[in-house]
Amino acid sequence: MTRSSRLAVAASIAAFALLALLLAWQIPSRHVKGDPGPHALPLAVAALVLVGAVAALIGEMRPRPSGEEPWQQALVVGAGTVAFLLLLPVVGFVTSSALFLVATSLYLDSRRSITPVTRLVTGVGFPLVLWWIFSRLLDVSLPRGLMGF
Amino acid sequence: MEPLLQGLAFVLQPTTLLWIVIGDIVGIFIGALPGLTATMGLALFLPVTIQLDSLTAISLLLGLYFGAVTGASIPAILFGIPGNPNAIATVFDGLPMARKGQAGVALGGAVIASFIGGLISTAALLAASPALARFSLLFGPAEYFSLAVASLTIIASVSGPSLLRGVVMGAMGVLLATVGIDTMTGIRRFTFENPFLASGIGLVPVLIGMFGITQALDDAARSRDLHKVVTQQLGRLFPNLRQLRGMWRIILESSWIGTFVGLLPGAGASVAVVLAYERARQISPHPEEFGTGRLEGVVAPEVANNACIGGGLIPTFTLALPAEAAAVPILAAMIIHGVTPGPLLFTSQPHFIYAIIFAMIVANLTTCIFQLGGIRVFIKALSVPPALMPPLVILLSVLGAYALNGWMYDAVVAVAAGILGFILKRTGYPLIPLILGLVLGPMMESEFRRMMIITGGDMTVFVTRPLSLLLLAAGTGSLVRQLVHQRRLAQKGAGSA
Repeated sequence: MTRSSRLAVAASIAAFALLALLLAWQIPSRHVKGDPGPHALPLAVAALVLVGAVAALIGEMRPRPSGEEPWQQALVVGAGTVAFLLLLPVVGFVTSSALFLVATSLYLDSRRSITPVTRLVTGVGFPLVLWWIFSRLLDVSLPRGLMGF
Repeated sequence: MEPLLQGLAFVLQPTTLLWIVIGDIVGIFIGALPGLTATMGLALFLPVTIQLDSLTAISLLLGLYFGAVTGASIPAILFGIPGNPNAIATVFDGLPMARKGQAGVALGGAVIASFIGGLISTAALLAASPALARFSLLFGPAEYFSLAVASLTIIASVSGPSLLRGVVMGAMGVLLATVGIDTMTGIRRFTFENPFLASGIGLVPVLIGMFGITQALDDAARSRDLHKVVTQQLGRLFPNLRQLRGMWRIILESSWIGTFVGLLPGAGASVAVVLAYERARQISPHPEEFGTGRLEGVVAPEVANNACIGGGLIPTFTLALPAEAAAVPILAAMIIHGVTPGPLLFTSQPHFIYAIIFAMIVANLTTCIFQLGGIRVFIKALSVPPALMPPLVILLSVLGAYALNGWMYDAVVAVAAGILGFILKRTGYPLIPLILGLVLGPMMESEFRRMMIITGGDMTVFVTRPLSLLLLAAGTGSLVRQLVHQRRLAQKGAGSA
């Protein structure tokens, strides 16, 4: 990743630690004699993360060689995963999974090496098999859509 | 003798055997699929183990672990693509053997070698058990706290090139472990009046996210395309027994290399296989033929990678210190099922340890049988189009997390952990210390506070008790060693610039 990405990540960790430190400060300190209380460990580790992240941030200020690794496809697949998660309670497990599998594999398979039949069988068949295993065999209730699965 | 027989009786129950076999078969498929690692498979299977008792759950995971490590030799030999990093060195001679029409002998030799390696390292675990049981009597709350601190600092210092980032991630894991209701006072921490956050950040969804979804996103980003089709002719499956007998020294030395490297946190099986391969070349009467398709070149790394399993599990069970990433889900399974890892396990639940050892022997044996018997079926796994793998892994991860409690919250945590894991991994922050912090955080806090209540707040107890001091010194030593190493590297870099 580029230097600016590394700087952004270090700054985000520092901000997260600072927020945790402020919240840990507000944890009530009710405890028995000797016990440092429920706020002690969160305070200590949040401070450690903050110091470490600030040190990492300072370290990132110094120029050093950075190799650029591809990440664009992960961004699209990550966005697809979030969309799948949002659709899951709305349209049900089978429909959302089928949409996710077909769309993502179409995107990743730029050379079209997967035949339409394989894509359809995997995209629809796999979620159906999983739905059957979890709902019928393992008795786990998966989110249902309009069609009942 | 009684715990030993109890352990054996448990493993020989038909249901335990069945779960081990299921784990084996799934594991071999996972190992055979390039891009799927043993660690990812173990994390994805954790939710399945929730319904099982602790011993059956760990037996299933051990079956999967052995299966995945052994199964990785299939694509390594047939196509020169290691199923996972454990099989890197198997490619060196496995692929040339396949090209010479000896794929079956190489595959059969790899399986038999894996079986022997696994057996020898399990024997090492068995031999170490009585000594560890005596050692366990020295452990109290102070030692458990120091053990957790030492495990975390050692992993933080060896898990990546940057000590600072390892420490930040370890501390972050402990911080995340404090989310939820404090068990000693009932006070809510970082819950924002959310009932899901009150139950804490689930270890399993984070594990599934960081091992499953993170890896899938990484694979999607790299777009690893495999366009080769299974065309290799297997031929004869078993190597000549005389050939194997002639390799006894290579087998023995590779076993010890695997077990010993497995014991070392951060070293990993990929180091062990390369060392074993190199050692085999040194002691072979035909070192010049290595790389051209020698069976010894397949046997040595395959013995070593399976030997790493037993070696790596010794510190996992005894010190809550997972030397290999794949041992983290096994450690998590123990914690989820209420089994506290550590030396006391050897005295408080000896039958548990013996059952695990027997489960390892059975898992090793059944992997050998099923991989040899079903080799033609497992090869079919290689025809799964690679573009389908990342979405399939993500789908299984989301489903696995959701199925834990039937909560969308767990699925959201898994996806968030997966995306966060990808960003952290890509910017050089190691994930293992974070996960270990989440695993060990609760133990670290409860033992520390218990000790403080006993001593009335006297913190010197951690350095006045010899074993506690020794553990803290080991952790500090690891930090200092890594710091010195980094300094030297920086000076060398500055000198050469």
